[in-house]
Amino acid sequence: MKVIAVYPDRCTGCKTCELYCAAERGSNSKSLLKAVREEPSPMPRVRVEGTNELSVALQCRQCRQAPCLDSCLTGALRRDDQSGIVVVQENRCIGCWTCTLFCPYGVIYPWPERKIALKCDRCLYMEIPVCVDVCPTQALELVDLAEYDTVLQAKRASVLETIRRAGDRQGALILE
Amino acid sequence: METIHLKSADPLSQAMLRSAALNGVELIWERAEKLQPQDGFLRLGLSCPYDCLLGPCRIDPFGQGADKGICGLDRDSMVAATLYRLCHRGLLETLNIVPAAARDLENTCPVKVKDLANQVLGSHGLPPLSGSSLLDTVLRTAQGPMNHEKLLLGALHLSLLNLVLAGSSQRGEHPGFGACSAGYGVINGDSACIGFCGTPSPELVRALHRQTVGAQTETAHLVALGAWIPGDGGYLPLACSSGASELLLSSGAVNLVVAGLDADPALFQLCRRLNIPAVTGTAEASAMEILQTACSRHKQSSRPQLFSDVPPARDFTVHSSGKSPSGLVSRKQSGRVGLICGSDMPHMTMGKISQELSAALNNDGMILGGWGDACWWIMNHEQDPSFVAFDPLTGPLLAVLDLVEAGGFDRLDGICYTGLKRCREFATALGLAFLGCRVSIAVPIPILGSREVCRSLSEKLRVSGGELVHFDHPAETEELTAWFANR
Repeated sequence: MKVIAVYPDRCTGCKTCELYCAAERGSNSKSLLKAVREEPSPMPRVRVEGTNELSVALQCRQCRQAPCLDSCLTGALRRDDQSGIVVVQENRCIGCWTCTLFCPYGVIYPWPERKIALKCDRCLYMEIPVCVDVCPTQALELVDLAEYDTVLQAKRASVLETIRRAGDRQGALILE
Repeated sequence: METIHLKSADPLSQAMLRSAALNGVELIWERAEKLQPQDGFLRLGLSCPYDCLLGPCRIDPFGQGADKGICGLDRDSMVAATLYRLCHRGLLETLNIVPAAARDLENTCPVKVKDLANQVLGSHGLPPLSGSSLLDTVLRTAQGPMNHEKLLLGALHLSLLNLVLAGSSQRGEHPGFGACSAGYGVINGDSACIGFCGTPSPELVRALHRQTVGAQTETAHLVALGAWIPGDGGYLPLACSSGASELLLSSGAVNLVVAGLDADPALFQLCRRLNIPAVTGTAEASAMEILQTACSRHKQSSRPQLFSDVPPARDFTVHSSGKSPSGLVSRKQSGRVGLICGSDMPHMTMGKISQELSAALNNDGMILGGWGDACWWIMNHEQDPSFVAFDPLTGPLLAVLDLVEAGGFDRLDGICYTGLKRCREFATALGLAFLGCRVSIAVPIPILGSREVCRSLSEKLRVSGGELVHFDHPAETEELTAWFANR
């Protein structure tokens, strides 16, 4: 299963992902310059949150135990068997927004104009998700969960190094 | 390499592209590709153009996020301010080329154009054209947030000032026209080749010209790389369009480059990469030294094989000032008039639109003229022997003068910009539309973020009978021919 990995240290908060997600996935024209004139206004499935000090692009984490799946009243939300991605079947969605309340990350959005819930489906039918493709700093990357441990290993190593340095300064004992 | 046909429709350009790719030379297309997508906020005009330190502020085009800048500048004003900035920047670029023109604008501007311009300005409650209005425009840029209507009027005022300033300046040695030749064929010759780009100092161009042409034996030949540079007796032979200047350099056909201050940094980088001597085109540079370096380089290298079968360059006349008519229109002649102009852009196939459009309009029996890269591509392919070439700086106003002489803009079907590179070109296009011409721009311009600004701009242009059509995508030739036909 492939998921979108987010690197907050690389995110500049430029919102390019938001802009192009809305244009590519939320508009009929699939073009930014045309999408701005569409009604209803296209909505992105990824949001950049944070401040000038820290910003991060947030989109559906495709939880293994997804509360949104259990909360959906009509079965509009389902997990795609092949990819493992949680998708909204728009023809079944009644716009009750129950899933938006249950989502622990707040990344399922109501789209009142179209009366559906909107969430990232990792651009399932595209080779590379739009947000990953357009990110100018590669703060978003498409990674296979099977390879995810490699990503996490690097992070763990970085944490360990930080602790070690702190330990050196404070005289604390670090077990290796 | 598989995209070569999308970069240029010209066989020799394609051969040079292939050669550059094989040699691993990075050109404008590769850089443009790496920058995709370009900042969407800027492309829509929704990134604040004021240089305050609270920003950068950007407005969400889809209405989910910020709807105002930190200072309170709203969506419409931000887009209008972007338009104003483009025109302001365009005017500064023109002033940089013709600094003396502003001091004597009242006297140098042709009376007929001044009357027409003042009439248009008066209908919008704007002050008449004057050199002193330049100061007002500078002050307005620093003023900060304003009503979008006022900003739009300011932008239109600037665009007209830019058009008149550029058109009233004196270009070249001759009062109205100059000889030129265009095509890759100008590269041919047994002597060293010195390429000029940007706006080099006229004194240096003249000095080099005297050294080469005046000498008993020709030591080097001077060619312009995409820039229309006046020289002794006319214009320097134009080796390529501006979009192909890097491409031509990469071929190894040029032995030395003289770059004006506004030349693209990429040309210097490419010269370093390919070990081609490059000098800045200021008057301080020694003509003799430049010549000797070019000749010494020429002796060390051989002419690239690519140029063995290049057809000869085409000679033509460039019309540069209103002191003598261009012959684009005359009272006796009948027939519709179309102008094709504009610059090459990396995301459009070089020369494709200008050649296709000129062929289509020519078939319709239109009298055609133009300037810039579009003109080079048309001249290079000899599709229309009656095509009237204008100097890109002074030509737009000269064309207007011709039309005014012929009784107004009724015979003008339109002016099509096939691409825009510099803000000066955009300001000129807007100025022409403000004067009452039908103008189309084949590429998107950064005002699509506000419907109100687009609507208001159209309305203001309509008052003087003008029109500015722009697209939300790179336009196809069919769309442009339909626009010409839909008068």
